[in-house]
Amino acid sequence: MTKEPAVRLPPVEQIGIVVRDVDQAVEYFASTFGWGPFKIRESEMKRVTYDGRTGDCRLKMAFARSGSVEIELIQVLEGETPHSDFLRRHGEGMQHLRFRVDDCDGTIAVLANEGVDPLWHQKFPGIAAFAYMKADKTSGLMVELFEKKEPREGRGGLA
Amino acid sequence: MAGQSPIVLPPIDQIGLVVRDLERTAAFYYSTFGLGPFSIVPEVKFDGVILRGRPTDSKIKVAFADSGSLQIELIQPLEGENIYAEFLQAGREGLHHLGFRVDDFDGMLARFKDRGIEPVFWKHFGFTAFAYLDTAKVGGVMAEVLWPKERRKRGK
Repeated sequence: MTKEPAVRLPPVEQIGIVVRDVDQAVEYFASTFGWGPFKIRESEMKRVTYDGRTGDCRLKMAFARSGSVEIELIQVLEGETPHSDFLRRHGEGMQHLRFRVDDCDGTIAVLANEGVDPLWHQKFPGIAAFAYMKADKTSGLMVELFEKKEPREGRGGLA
Repeated sequence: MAGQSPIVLPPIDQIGLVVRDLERTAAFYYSTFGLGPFSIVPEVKFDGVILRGRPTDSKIKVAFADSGSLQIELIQPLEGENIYAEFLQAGREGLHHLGFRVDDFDGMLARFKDRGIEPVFWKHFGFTAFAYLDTAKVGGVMAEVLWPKERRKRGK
């Protein structure tokens, strides 16, 4: 008999692709896949835990949609992340699938019981949290959990 | 090439993964993530599929599950030469391709050819057709063009 799933992730919401050069990739995917227009932004993250170590990183990312899913292109500008590891090992390519969760910490705890541990994660208290889960038990599939608090309605309320 | 109009693929229909042990993977994805349950096709014969210009015979095992409007496909190569066995031989496992379903299969292949992008592994069976394209040179994503446009319904 099949046991009940430990968690029930919703449909895939994002496909993450590691690239060497976001600008070059944006141009290529626009002309060859018809993806875009992409929104490009840089993000700096302080004290992110990566495989037990904590460090800073700077990423350049581009976002577009393909039907129901978001395409995320990721270039590492500085620091060590799962993306820089992926690029060194495999070159460019699809690196993760992202799923939305209500409670990132809670889901991490349940998945840890199944042998799937977090690899790279951070919380932005009151705003969002993400966790890339290790792929050693998942036949190579890196699952990203993503929790986002919807912004409060109306003015004020920002403590 | 400059001046060419872009190729516009339809929305992604399928995310394809290549795995070493399909049964174990399908069971694990369901029990751990609630992804699935997968319907498994224990053996698919790929006779006369063109691998970089040369016909090959191979066998694979496949499994399908829905994730919203997307289809998740797991592939395990069983015997013979194909791009899935090559992927595993290269030490890879996991995310492998994105599938796009089109109305005009030959036309789409011709458009890619105009840009110097050739099919790597493909066959037209008459009632269905697929072509994996050499789109991974920039960005590392292999596109699979599938025909017909509508996914075939699968029994449980």
